[in-house]
Amino acid sequence: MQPAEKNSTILEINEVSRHFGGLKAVDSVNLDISKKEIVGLIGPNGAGKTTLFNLITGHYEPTSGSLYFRNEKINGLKPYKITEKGIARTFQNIRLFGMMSVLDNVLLGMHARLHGGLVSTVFCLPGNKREEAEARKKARELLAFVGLGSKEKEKARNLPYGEQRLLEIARALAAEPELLLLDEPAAGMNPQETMELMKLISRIRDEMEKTILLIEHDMKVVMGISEKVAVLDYGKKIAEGRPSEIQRNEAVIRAYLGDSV
Amino acid sequence: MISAYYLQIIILVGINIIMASSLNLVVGYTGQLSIGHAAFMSLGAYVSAIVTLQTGLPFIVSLLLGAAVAGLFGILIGIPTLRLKGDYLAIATLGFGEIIRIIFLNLKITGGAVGLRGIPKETTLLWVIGVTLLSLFVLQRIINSRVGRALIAIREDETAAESMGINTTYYKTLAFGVGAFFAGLGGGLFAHYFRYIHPNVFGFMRSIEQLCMVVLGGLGNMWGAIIGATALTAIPELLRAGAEYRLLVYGAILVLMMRARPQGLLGESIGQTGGRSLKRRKTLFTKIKLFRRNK
Repeated sequence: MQPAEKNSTILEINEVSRHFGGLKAVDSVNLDISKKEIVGLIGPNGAGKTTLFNLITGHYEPTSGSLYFRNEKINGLKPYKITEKGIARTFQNIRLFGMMSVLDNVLLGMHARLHGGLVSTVFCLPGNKREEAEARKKARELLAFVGLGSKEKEKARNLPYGEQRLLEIARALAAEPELLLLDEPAAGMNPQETMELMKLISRIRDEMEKTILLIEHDMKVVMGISEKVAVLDYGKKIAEGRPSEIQRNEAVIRAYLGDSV
Repeated sequence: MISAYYLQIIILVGINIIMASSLNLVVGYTGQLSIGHAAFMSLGAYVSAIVTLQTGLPFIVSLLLGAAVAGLFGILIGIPTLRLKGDYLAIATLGFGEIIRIIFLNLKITGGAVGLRGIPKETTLLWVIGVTLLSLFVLQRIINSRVGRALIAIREDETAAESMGINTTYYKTLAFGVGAFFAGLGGGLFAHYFRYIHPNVFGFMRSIEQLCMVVLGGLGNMWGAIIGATALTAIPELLRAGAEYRLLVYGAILVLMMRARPQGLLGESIGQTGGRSLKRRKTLFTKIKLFRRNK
């Protein structure tokens, strides 16, 4: 391995497995993700895509194998530690803080980057106030970036579905991650919203210089914006390559459509 | 001037506002069901009273020492128990409350079953108003800060909170510790007003009473805790004739609130679609009902 190549790899998934009893949800998966790359992760339902996300973000611990983020081993770390290191995610089944305002949701995303603790809060230290004001300014910028600029005061759970997905993205971006994991961001969106989402994801990479790993069932999205696509089936990675290669891959077609085709 | 009787009611209202608002931080904002809040009150009461009696230090010192010990116990109890969720946490805090009560019943320094008497009367109306306002101010500041946001996030969705980089164990323990600290303050004021304390004064029913105040006013709402504490302190006192039926009324209030207004008098309104929080509040009610039934 050349040092140059090693440097551009931001996430290295090395022979990672996760078993639930007899079920091998993720089975010896290898995947390298380079800086500023958009990688699509696809596969039939139950293929282990979200489990892989949960392994990367520390919600599950791998049964075997190891995960390196910026050449640092991260398996076994708690989710909040992994967020501090620079990985943020959205959830497939939207998990916003429903009773809180849109702005508060984004401010919560910043939690790991802010410092206001109990003492500075209670004694009204000046640094605390300044930090809070700056955080609010940045949160508003992020909301404007995803197109929710006018909704900051609304309760998160009162937003329409598509906007809730956008808020999840804004909240994840607030953590200033290097690597952003998007779990089915286009699910439940109409074609118009999906188009805008694709533009947004490209802008996140181009303007904010983030690396993106996304799970998506909408092939238009995956094939449209990914530079690389990895395919999981029954926990195993069955293919990896450029979108055009994946579309012609025999094993992938079999996994999606069955043997007889 | 106000008569001694009304003065006592006002002082009790103040102390109960401290108790309810500090419990609200744990139950209402952080979403951790604690039914042993009176135990922290008793720690504050006993420690401050003993310090005053044995050392003669100024009231403010013994008051703060009592609160500090209560807060410390809150953290110590919080570390192992806050890994538990829902029902299990409730049972653990209930057990802790009983343990503290029984320890105080059996220690020599606390006067055992005779109780602790002859505590100097230090708590004045001014003290109560001052400490109550200060407690409310500090609690409100915490809630409107990064720390408070983290606490509410834990209530709303613990998994998502962890993904935001929130160390949930730390913040839950923090909420428990802060809640216990203020409960200790309330206990110290209580001891130095009534001048006599007994372990059974801080039993399970007192914890439930404080929980009722929070639930009546509205979980996760500071004004709610104030109104709940005021209503459930003043009304039974003013309707002395019905004092024996007080507990019956508490039960009725809980059931009625559960049917008509699960978010409490002032709790955030919950729309038609409902949500995780509503479901959580409903299970909280069910739990309270179960505990009352089993007692």
